[in-house]
Amino acid sequence: MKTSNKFFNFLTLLMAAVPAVVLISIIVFVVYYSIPSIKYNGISFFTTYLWNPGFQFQAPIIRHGVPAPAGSSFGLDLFLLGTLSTSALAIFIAFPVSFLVSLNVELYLPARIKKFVVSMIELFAGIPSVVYGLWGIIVLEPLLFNNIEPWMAQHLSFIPGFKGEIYSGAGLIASGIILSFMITPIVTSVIVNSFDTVPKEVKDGLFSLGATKWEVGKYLITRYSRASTVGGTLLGIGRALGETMAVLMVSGAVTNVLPSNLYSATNTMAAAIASLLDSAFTDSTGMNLAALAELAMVLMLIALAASVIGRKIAGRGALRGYESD
Amino acid sequence: MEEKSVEKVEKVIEIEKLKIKTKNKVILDRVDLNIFRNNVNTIVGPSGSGKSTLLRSLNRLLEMDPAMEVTGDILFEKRNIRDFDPVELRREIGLVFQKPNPFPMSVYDNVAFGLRIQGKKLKREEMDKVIVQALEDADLYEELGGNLKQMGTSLSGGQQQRLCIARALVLRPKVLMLDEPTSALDPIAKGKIVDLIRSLKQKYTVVLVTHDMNLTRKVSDYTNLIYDGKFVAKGTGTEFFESKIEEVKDFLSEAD
Repeated sequence: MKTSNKFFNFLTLLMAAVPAVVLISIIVFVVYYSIPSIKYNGISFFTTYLWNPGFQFQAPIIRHGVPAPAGSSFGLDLFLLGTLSTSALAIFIAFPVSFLVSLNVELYLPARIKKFVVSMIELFAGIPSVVYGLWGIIVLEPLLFNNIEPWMAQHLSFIPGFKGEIYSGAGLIASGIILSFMITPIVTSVIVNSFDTVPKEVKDGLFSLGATKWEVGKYLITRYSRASTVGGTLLGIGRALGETMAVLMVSGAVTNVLPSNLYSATNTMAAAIASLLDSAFTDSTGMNLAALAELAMVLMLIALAASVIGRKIAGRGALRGYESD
Repeated sequence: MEEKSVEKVEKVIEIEKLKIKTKNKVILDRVDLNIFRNNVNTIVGPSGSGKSTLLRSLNRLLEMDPAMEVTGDILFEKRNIRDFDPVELRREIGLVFQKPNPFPMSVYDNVAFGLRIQGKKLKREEMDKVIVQALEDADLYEELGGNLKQMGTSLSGGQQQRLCIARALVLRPKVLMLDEPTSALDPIAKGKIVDLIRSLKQKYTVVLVTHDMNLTRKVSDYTNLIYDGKFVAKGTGTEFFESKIEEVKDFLSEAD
């Protein structure tokens, strides 16, 4: 009995350590593989946008002590810009939708339907991203290309970035919309859950003072669920930053051409890693792979930061400032 | 307590054949009772007898819960409450809950809350005046020594309860409903609420739900017993306690 108990304790401890070990080993791996790229590119990795794999059939050059294909240069600015802009657009769409859906779920729907709607939202989060991507290519891109973007270019051209040539429908807008579909369930469920933690007495108190549902919702969001709302949004951003497949399918996956307007093709760090990996393996110097590893490292840092901050804020509790007794 | 003739006093709320049930359970059945103006109308009964549910039906808070089915009529100043806008009705019939529920903001903002959501644009001095008045009516102003900036949630239980009363009073309701206002309080805080209830009836109609028979003896003008979901008996102050009705005698012996 005692031995089995000891064994069980050891097993749980071991299992508890697994996530930390895995996370640390991934970080070590990514940093280790990045080292040649960090040496070779230096600061220019962050200050340039050209991603040139170099001439792999010429003799490699050596710079700062590391070999690389002749003529190669690696800068992440285009991918970083694409990542940030698609995520920003996604959250710009997803936040108001999540906000209104959660208010509706919380205050207007009967309990039975509420359960159904919440489980539907959670189901949405489970759709594989490749399915979103396929839908994006077949339905969204033609719609953007034929209808929406021409209309925007014609009627909203007074806004900077809205004027100019339309490409194929693939690009920033398509990526932002697809990403917003993917993160809306996350943001919504965090806000809905935070509403459930508001003491019933507070809601009753608000209604008893003659507050309308809208006023109650506004109050809950601004007073009780502010932390969760911000946290949930950051979690959503974390998801959007790292999303790969769907964005790869609808972004246009461009390299070396900076976007000229809102309709331009774009690319993100995650999608670039996936799409450039294949050719990177043909580089005998390993520099292309190292550059992708450095890209992955930066992406991981940004996404981890968003996720950690999001969790911290969301977990700080909706009840801050309220002691019930 | 002086005897009163029930018929001569004006009825503010008339409840007729009220029945409240969920799918599986009848909570209240055939409740007929009246609430009289500028009196303390007490509803007593054992825990779980449906008293709080009754209060929540009077300001239509109950209908927020779709599981509750309400039949029968409730008239507020001769008009069926179903014909009121619920938001409007809740401003006329204030409700203070058993568990004090101040909002996490200053005392001042707590009291001002109801006025602000009504969109009342008062000048700063006017606002100050009505807020001080409400806190005085709730017998809290002096105790706070004029410090209205402190958090409502940092007050003691009894003070929080009176803050919640002030928050309801500032809207000048015609009826103030108090749901077990003393159950969470220590004896001193209780004493203050007793004095407060007595003074409140000068300006307001008070509906008091309690199972505290000491409190009832001290403040009640009209006492109604709800027993096992049914309205059983009513009586003026002393009348009720001398009732020959079996359930009343049972309840009083259990309660004391």
